[in-house]
Amino acid sequence: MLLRVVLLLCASHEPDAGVATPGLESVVRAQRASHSASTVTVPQEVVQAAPRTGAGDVLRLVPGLVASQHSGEGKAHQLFLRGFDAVHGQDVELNVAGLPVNEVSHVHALGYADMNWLIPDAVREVRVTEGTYRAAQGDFATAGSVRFELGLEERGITLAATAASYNRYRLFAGFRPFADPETFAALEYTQGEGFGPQRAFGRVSFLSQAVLSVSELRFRAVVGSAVARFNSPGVVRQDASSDFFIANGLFQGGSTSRHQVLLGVEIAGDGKTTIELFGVLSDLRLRNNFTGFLLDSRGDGLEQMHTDALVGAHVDHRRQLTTVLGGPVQVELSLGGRRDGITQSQRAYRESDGAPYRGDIDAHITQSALFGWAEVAWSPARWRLMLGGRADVLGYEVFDALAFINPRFNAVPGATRAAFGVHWGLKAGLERSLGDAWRVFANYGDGFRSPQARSLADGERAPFVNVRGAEIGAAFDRPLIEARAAAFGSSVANDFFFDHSVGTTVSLGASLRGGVSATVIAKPLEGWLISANATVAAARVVGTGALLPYFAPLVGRMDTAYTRRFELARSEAITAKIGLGLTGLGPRPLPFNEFSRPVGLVDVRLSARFRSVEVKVDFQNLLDSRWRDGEFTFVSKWSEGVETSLVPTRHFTAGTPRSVFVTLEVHL
Amino acid sequence: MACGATEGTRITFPMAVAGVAPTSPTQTGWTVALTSAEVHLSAARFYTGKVLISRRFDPWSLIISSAWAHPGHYQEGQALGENLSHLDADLLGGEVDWGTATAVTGEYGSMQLTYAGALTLKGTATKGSEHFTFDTGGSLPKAKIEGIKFDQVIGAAKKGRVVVTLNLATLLERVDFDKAGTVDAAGILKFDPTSEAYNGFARGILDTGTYLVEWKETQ
Repeated sequence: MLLRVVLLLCASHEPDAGVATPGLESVVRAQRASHSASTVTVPQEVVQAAPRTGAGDVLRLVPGLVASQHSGEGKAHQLFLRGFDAVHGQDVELNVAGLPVNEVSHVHALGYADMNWLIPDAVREVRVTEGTYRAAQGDFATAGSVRFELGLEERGITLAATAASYNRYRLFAGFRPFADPETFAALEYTQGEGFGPQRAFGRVSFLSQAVLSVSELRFRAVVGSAVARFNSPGVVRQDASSDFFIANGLFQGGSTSRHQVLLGVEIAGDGKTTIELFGVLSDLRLRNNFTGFLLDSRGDGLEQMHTDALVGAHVDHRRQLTTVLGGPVQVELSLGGRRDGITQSQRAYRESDGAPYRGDIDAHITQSALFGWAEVAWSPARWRLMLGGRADVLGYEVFDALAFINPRFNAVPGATRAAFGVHWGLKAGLERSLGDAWRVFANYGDGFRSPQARSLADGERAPFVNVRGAEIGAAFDRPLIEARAAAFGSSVANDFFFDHSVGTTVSLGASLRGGVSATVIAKPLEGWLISANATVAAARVVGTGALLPYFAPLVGRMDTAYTRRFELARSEAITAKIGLGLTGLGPRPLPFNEFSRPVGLVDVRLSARFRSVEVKVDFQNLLDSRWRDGEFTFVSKWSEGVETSLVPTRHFTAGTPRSVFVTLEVHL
Repeated sequence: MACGATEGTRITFPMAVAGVAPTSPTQTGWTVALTSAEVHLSAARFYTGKVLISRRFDPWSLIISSAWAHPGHYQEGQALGENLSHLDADLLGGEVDWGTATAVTGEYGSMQLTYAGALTLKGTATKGSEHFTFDTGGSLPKAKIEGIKFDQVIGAAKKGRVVVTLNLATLLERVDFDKAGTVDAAGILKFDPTSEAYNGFARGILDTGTYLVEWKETQ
């Protein structure tokens, strides 16, 4: 297991790592206490401790989460968490500053969550709630929820230019006008040719948030836009490959766009009330061919297009109801909904020239989801008891344009379907404080995942994938160290495994997952920050006892940074930071009782700052490990007219080799 | 770290091919004595998909109607096992080893056989006063024979081999040697590819009932 070592040397005018700088404004923000052992808040100083070149690096901050990028820089990552193969997001609820990221009934994968538009510099903190124990957790939160809060680290104007390996360039501009980091605007442009054929990409992203407090009102607005174009390299067939970095399949890749806005207001007074409205317009065009000529001699490539117009709103209210036996009784209530207007299509294309030759999907979907949840918490003495419930009601309308297209029998092609369903979820938690630093927890929660609209029959009661989860754990909180440890388990009554590389869904029946996790964030010395976590998990099919494949049963991550200020003559100073990032993945179970190779990676960041100029040098995969980002077992056929094996065999996607990034940053 | 195993295990098993010569007159009344049965095979693949029905002509169907068998319904694509080694053999020489198949454990339902070249039968055919020395020739109607029945659960602990037996009597049942063509200068009746006899021969090759695929346990 290699370790990602990130050495970050930079100078900062802002208070950092516990070093106070006189004469500066400070914004004090109270952090809501966590109520389970798996609730972790990753602060910005940890976010900035290691090289973060994109969304995948930010996602890897989540304890135990593995983010695999198997189709280039524009496609959503494949996520693995707590024994769940979340594919492209079906089991991990992702949210950025209140904007939902998971897309419902997506043509490529359920819960498709593209995070590539997120600018790493604008991530202020990452709030992780693993498991499904809180009533606020909704669709796709079967393994957990992650919310990214936005903000720029430094007040003023920041301009940065980066040149990196493989002809990669990045320009960044951001400004933060006030002491409060939450009000900012940022723009990022990135392009590169990639470390192998068919990996070129270009992306531009704009993100902005404004917070304004007036009396008892706190207004917040978030606006973002992003466009990307990318090529995808495909997968490498292990037994037929001469080059680790050259995969099969032409014309793969796609384009994405995302435009989003959120308007919200918090009203203090008798409790706190939050009203938020949001809208997201997203588009995806994606071409992939994982199997070559297996199913059709013209090629198995699929071109998928998906457009979603999402609008939604919710109102939250939190207040103290009363006091019982000296303990406050608090209630939190939320009501809301969202509507997705979806247009999706899928066509097969020729491998020889990319021309489409068959239409598979042409559908229009309206999916409406309304919810209501409530949590009541009672805190007598050193106890905290929580009981909550959630109801989600989903309605589907589907127009399938390719149904009944035989003109001999149907004068008008197309079929319509509608379905409706309700999911009820129970949440419960018990917390006990042991002294000033220790707390122990026990939690239970019912989670769910909504079905794919096109899979529903007319009038069907929409079936959900139901998850029951439980956890016990402990937390230790001190000013210079916080630690968490938990043992967790979950059962899925009607699990399925969608192998989207070959487009088939395999029903698994009931499945069980369980494991342990631990997280530590500490500042052992002035200027030194350490964040480390490790998760061990297993997932099995109940009926056969077989392991579920693909997720990593052992995931470890460490980020550490050391900051030192060197005084110079004439009151000048250089502030240097060294950061270290370590990533380790244990062997992953694969079909047919095989295991993938373990992965270990070392990242290093060096940076130094003098006055307003900062230079950073980042090394990703410092030891140039030849690692496999994803490993799969399936059948492919890439040679026409030649007998090739049709028994499932190993395929993989190459991980990024050693890459060097040099950044010049100016702070005005 | 992840104690236990995922579904299935990779296995191998040897394969063999054999032939069963006719011992009684065919449906068309010919008594056939084969002198050679040359087969050239390039691949065998095993699938989960079960054959819907696969059987020979049943006289009871004249009384109780039933559908003729047809292969299916497996899905082109993922194979449970395969043998991609080439085989050239005379099926009259007893069982012939046909290399080793690479496979995975599972429920096997059918086999697909791929010819590389021809299946050529030579011998004599007699009916009443008629007698021919024949050669079916080297052409094939189709290279892949799909949906050959093979119902077998093969687990990791099972040790055995797969034997593919061609019932040459079944293969020749529809052949009327009177309608095969003309006898050449050497006195050999060579099958005309456009003849009715060749049509019967081709249908015999395509008839999945010609093939018997068995799993034979070994110690």
